[in-house]
Amino acid sequence: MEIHLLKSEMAVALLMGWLLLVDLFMPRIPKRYLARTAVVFLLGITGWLVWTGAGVGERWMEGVLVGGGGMFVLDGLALWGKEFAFWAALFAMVAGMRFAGKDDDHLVERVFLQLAACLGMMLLASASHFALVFVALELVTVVFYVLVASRRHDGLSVEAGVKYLIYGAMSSGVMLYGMALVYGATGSLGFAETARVAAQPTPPMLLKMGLLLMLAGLGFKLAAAPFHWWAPDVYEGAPTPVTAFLATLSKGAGFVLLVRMLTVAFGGMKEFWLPVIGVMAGLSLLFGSLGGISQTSLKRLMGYSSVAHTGFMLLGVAAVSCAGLGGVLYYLTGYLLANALVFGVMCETSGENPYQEIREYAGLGARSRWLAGALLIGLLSLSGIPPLAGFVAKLLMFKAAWQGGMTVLLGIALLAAVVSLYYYLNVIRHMYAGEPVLTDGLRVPYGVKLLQGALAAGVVAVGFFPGPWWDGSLMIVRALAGR
Amino acid sequence: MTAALFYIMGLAMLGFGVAVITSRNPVNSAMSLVLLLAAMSGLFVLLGAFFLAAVQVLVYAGAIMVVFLFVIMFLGPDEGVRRRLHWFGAINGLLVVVALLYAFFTLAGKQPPMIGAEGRAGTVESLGRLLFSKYLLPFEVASVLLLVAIVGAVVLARKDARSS
Amino acid sequence: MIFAEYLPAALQAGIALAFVAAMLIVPPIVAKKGAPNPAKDSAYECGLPAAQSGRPRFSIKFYLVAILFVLFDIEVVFLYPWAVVYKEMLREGLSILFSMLTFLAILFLGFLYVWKKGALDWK
Repeated sequence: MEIHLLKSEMAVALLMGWLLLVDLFMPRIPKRYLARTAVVFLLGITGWLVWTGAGVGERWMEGVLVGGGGMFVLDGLALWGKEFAFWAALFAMVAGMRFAGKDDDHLVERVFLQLAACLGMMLLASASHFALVFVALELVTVVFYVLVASRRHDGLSVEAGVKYLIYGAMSSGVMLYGMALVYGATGSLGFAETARVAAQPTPPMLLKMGLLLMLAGLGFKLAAAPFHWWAPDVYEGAPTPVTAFLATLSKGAGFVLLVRMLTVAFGGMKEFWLPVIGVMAGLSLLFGSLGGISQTSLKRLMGYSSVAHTGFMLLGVAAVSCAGLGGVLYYLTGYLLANALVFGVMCETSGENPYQEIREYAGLGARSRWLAGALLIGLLSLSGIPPLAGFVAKLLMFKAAWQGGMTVLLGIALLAAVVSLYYYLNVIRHMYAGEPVLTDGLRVPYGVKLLQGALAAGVVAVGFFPGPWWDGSLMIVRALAGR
Repeated sequence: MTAALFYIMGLAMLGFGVAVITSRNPVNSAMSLVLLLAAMSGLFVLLGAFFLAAVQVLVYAGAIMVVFLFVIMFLGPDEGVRRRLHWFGAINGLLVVVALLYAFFTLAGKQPPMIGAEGRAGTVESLGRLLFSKYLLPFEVASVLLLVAIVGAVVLARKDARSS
Repeated sequence: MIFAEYLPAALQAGIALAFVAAMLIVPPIVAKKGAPNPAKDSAYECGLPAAQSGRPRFSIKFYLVAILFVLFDIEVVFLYPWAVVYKEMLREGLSILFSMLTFLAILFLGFLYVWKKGALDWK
């Protein structure tokens, strides 16, 4: 077992253990300080990974480092996924601390669980064997079962937790059955061996069934229609920082796995999975955009929005080109930044507006220019207004779909973009032109301002100068497809 | 001998299965399920899947059924109301029966289209060897998964951690 | 498949079954049993009629115990194949020892957590 490949994973695991032990044996240390220390440590690990990753970037792009008997792969996509996991977890931890309040019993446990989900996605990004895929995916999902229900005195949170648990357990079972069928068809659970069988002129029926079942299970994690029914309820019921984490990390984890699985393991069966992904993309776009129109809660709206964004990203997957898949990675970058902005504002206002009613956002523009600005930039990027990151990302998806010759899907996507523009602009209209419910000013600490400023700058920078991000994504995907 | 044991186990499973769904006392249903699972582990032994048989008894007949029974006892083990057969359920059940019969008659006597693992795959030795060599990483991750589940269970179920 | 090696197990199962069957069948034959009547079945003079079912609801406190039992039970499942191959694989190096030690250390952390948080206390 090549332990040196697992350095960053082991660092996170050690951080988790350290956190738990200190919390248990030094109960005098305030939990807030402990949580903050964990954030600083995680930031350090992130910086270290980015630094070393950038240094040996080219080497990892070309050659692949393989460990654990071919289970664990360290390549560009893996590195990208790990960094995504770090940023998503960092943001969720900060948001969770802002949200928690002073007398929170389970703050350390929540940070611990968020680190565990981060670890799960890091492993998932490297997994090229279905056994590791399953364990890592469960690590992410089990954390969310707990986090979603963690406001135990709030009926909505518990309801969301139960719904997520039942749908999640079901989808894990479906996915596991799919893996069993893949094993039956190939005699192995490795991506490489699966690819060998999938490349045959007529792949066995069992393999097709296995892939279908796995796509259904993965569709749940991605909130892709027709497996998206849980998303609005769970997004609404979960505590706001958890919703943010769910929207970013579980989506990122799902797409990194989907990209690796479809290109590496099932690259030879494009004709088979292409229509499946296409249908999922079209349905997600329709349900996500049309379902959001009548929503009155911003959190629920974000649930539908995430379904629609899954649809856009699936469009890139369905294009089966390096441009499409690279576009997915670029899209995820912009999506993470914009979601962090929107949910960050939601965490700030959650005290006075626990159910995130859109009409209670009325007058936010006058109450806190800062928060309103952050929400504005986040929503505009999600709706795809130039020149923000969301615009370039959508453009890349449309272009990939056009080059792939998917006119019908492209039409649906354009329609969805217009419809979702309506509901995002509706929130902005309330914010600046609505009749205010509350008029007192909102105080925002400097740290939060700094973070939101950085995120907003990121959204603008990724949109204005897409070059570096786009080139990086393309390089990662080319290396993946070239193997 | 194998055939005789297969029929004994199979009939026992069928009998206990019927008892699970017809028994009016939920505790009796759960107990029948324990016996059904035990008989099923006997079938696994006949197939040479010894580890699976052990896990079946340890985890399913043991641990999972404890949770089942707990839920039954928590909700109150009173005898359930006898419900009428619902037409929707009946149709679905019939469909499943038809599908299973179809599968049985088309597949009977045919070699399954599976590529099995070679050698004595079901034995505990071969499983242990694989688990602690090739599958070491998922194995260690499984311990993190269990740890997370333990912490999660305490976070969700414990009343207030500090007031103790 | 050789069934001789299962003979002890079969024997034990048979004895257990026979014992339970005997417990159920023999007493009604041996014991004298008069015809039941309502007066006989009612509570004795100074007793009270049962206020509720003889099987009360369980407390929710059992829930955590049940879940923790399941989780640690799964740990034991992993120990079983380890114990079987341990002696043989030890010859190839110490990795078999350390892999299980890591596994157990991580789960011991969970046990410490449960213990220190007082989740096993019965208040």
